[in-house]
Amino acid sequence: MRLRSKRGRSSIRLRSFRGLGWRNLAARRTRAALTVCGIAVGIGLMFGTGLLTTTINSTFRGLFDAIYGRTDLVVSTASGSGSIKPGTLKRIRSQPGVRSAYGTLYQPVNRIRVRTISRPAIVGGPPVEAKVRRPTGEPLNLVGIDTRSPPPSNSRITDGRKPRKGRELSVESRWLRAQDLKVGDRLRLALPRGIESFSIVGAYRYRSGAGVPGQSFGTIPIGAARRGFERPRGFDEIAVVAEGSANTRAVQRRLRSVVGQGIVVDTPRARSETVLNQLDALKVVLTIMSVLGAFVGAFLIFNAFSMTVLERQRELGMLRAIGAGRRALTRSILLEALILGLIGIAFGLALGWGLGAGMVALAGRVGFPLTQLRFSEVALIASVAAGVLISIAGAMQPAWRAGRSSPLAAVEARREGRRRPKRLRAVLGVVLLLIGLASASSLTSGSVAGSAAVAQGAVSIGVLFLGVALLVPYVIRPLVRPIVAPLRSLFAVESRLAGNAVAANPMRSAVTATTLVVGLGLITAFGSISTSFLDSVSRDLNASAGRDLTVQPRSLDLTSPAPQQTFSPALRRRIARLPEADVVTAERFFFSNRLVEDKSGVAFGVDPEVYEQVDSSTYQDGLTQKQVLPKLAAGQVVVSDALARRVKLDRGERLRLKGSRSTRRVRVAAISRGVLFGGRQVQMSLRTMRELYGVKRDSRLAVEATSAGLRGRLTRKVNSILDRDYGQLQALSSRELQSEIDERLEQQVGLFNILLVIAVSTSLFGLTATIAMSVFERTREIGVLRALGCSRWQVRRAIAFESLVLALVGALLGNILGLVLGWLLVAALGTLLPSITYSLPLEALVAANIGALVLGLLASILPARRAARMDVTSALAYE
Amino acid sequence: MLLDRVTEALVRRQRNRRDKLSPASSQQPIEVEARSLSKTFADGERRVEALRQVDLEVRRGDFLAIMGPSGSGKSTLLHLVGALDTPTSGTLMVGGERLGALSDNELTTIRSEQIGFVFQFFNLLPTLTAAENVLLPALIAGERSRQSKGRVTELLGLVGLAEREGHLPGELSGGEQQRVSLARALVRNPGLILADEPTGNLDTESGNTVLGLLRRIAREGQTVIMVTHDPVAASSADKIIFLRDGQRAGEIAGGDPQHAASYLSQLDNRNGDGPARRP
Repeated sequence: MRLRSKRGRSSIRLRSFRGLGWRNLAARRTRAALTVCGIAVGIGLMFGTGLLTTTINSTFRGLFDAIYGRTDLVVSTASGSGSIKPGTLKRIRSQPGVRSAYGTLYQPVNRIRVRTISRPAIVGGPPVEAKVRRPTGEPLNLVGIDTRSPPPSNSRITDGRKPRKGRELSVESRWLRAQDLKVGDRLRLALPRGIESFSIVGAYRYRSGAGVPGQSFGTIPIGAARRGFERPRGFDEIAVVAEGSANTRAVQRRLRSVVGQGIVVDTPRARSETVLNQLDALKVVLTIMSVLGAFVGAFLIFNAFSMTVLERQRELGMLRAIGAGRRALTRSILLEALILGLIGIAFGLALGWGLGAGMVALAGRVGFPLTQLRFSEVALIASVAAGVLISIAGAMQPAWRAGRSSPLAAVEARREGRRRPKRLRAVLGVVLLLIGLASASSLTSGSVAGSAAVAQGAVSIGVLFLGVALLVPYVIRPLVRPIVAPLRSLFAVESRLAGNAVAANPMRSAVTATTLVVGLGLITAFGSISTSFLDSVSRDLNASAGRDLTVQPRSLDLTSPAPQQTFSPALRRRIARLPEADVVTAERFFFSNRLVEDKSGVAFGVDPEVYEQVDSSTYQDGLTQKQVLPKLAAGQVVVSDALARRVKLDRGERLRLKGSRSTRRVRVAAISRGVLFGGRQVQMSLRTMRELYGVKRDSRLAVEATSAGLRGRLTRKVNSILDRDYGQLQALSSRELQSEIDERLEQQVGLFNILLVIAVSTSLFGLTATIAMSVFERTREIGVLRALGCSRWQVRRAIAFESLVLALVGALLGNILGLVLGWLLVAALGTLLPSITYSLPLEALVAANIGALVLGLLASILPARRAARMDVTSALAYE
Repeated sequence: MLLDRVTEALVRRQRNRRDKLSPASSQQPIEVEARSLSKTFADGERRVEALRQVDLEVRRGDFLAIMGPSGSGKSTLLHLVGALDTPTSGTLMVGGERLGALSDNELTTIRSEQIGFVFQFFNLLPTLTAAENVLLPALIAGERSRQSKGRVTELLGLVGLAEREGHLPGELSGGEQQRVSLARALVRNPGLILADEPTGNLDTESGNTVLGLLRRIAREGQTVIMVTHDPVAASSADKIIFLRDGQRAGEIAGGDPQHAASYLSQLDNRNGDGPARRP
């Protein structure tokens, strides 16, 4: 504690007993600052994730409001793919209450520019310059509209005019600026048919101002869209304007009765909610992060005030002796916690805003663009309330202990804090540990699902960690000796001092180590989930890899439910004509919110005649492609294990598939394994997909060379075709395909990991505070050591080693706990994704343990410095 | 003004509560009376009899010193009288109040209203000035600093530290800190002052100053009980009682340090058989 002279100031500034709390905090600025930092990080995480959730909601609602600003109802296919027949539009227009209705077509496209790149003409040859066509800038969502119709969106032209005919384009002014284009320019767009040139005739913006980076829109005449998208008939959507908004519901009912099967009629708001529901998993993750932040913040408060109460035993006893009641002392501690909490909340809100902005920026980089960060009153109030709650809750037990201080503590000699843990604590710890394990284990049965499972999981983790926290004091001593042993040979004195310091006070050591146990345990546990998921994806890809090349859009994202780019079958035919190509087969897929029994999933179409040559997946019950593909050709389907479990289907049973063209009951030929697409997939033949959903364009091509020796030449020729006419597509080898998927998944997991690391970084503050406390309690001991000849550097090393030993104890226990918990969580996740298998999170373990060591050393810097600088005579006289 | 009236009402309410506990205490002189007082501690498996059947009577205005060898139970006796701890058996009356029958809150009130402590290690809060440390018991009792400021200044003047009232304990010598501690003990005008080795950590001069103040306080009508191992300090009291192995082992009149030292030495030499002492 540093005290400043108050000479010259009023001798009495203390107005009431309550003011003592402020004075105590001011006297322990470093510890208060560390505690405030920890709370700020926790609240910041909570507020930041709350803002992010609000921004996500706002982005999509705003986007839909803008896009459908003038539309009352949107008619689309239930499956999300295929076309609405032209006759449907006629029927809609004839309904009473419909003022106007116009059909649209939709396709995400890229702007193509010619670039010069250097690459070898032959394998191993010198690089040569080549002109290639490559996509540039943000993708553009291109909408083909009837030029006679009013725009469905609530937009206004800012420059030029609407497109009228031919290849004219009107586009969001924001996208034009980003592309450094203006009205009057020409540009090339990569459409399914190929690369086509358009003239920019107009620029517009939404009246609401809403617009999402990465989700820009442009309009072209529907005739150009039909040609470019290769969609000669039908529509993707029909925008309906009702006669007066009051009639909307009645019109909606009427339209539902006439549109036919496989077609839905929604309001724009309902559509935006459907999209938002797909993001529930992300929101759950964000909620978990914010709860984690709150938990660690509360633990930090508990840690700091436990130390404070320990340190101030004599002072608290004195206050009791001179007439302070138990409640007064308890209130005093709680007031201190509240003050720190309020300061932490203030900093946390600022930090949360920055964190939210950072996450929005990061989300854009991982293919999930959002608007600017939006403010949320709910997030603000929730964060402030949570901050107050965790401050009080975290300090409750130490405050109660403070109130229980005996007045005798004022007169008894100071004991060196060698509290032994009580038996009741051990019993309680074991009970909580077993309850936590049992609860987490019960999740693996799959009897609890959805948000209830998430809540139970969170409670299980909390109870488990609480049990471990109570038991840590009992394992401190047995662990210290083997940990210190390797250090003895190099630094005999310092390591012995460090080991003794840790073992002599198991309660204090436990409080510190537990902070790390919790932090590292969480990192290891969640690292297990992400590693298991990524490894399962790799395993699936390896199992299915039998192709030499995969041709796919550069922007393809297998993890996203958003519509993906498709391309014309003409490309497939063109590549098939190459003499080096043996097999060229199409894969077609689309995401649907209502794939099977209104459960979402991905429909995946393959050519059963040749697919076995490019994919060697196997199925449950040992079935192979050879056995299953003929059944696909006969109209049966393969359902993924996760989806089959969700809708309670088995092999041989039938399920109903509702498409835009027809509805069919199909037999399940086999159950497949896989975690991609969220493990929810229905595989069928290309023909079934066309008949049911009207899908005719390819999403990917699988290409096999005639021989291994011709792979290189095939690859060059395919690249040449793509560079010239299909710049939005790329050809990837199996290894490159796996790398790209891995990279995309790791980016998304990386966002999660960043949040996790921030949440547990508060361990640093707890560790520093405790080491500082240890130095304080051992003032006289340090004075004796110095008097006996210990150098300042030896003292520093002793303190540093003590911190290191504590960090290692925490890391070891955290690893064990994290591995057990991780295994349970993966097993629980397996009830949703049966194909996921547990993988040891080696990278997370190594990173976390290195992090723990670094944390331990960093935490000791300030206290070690203080210990080394202690005046020997003052330290010896310390009581 | 409203705040002052509210504060006064609260203080009055506290005093009435005290009167309810011992309706006659405001009329009766404060005295200490112990009969067959015993205190036993559990130390792991062992039981330690720190006090055994001790009788004690202290009248108002007395200045009593308690001496004895290490582990004789003198501090334990002081703690019991000061309501810091509760006896295992026997009766203890302080100011006419039987302490053994009171709850923790009631004992706390007794300590706040009737007893002032002077600790061996001063126990000043390092973050408060000398004046604030003196004021602390009054603040704990719910008084506002404005009300008690005059009294604080008066007390610091009494102990000779009027010009040091704005200093922190770290800026005061040991003797000055102990004087501040003494002023703190007096701020609520208690009837009983308990001093546990008040000169134990002081040099001779400072110790004499503190002892002089304690004598003066006793002369002015407050009862002072002091535990000490220092014959010189003990001799400043009116009476010295001796404890050995938790029991009364005699008493002498104050005033003669050599006599006190000799008596204590005899007690030390006779020490041998007896029950285990509390560490």
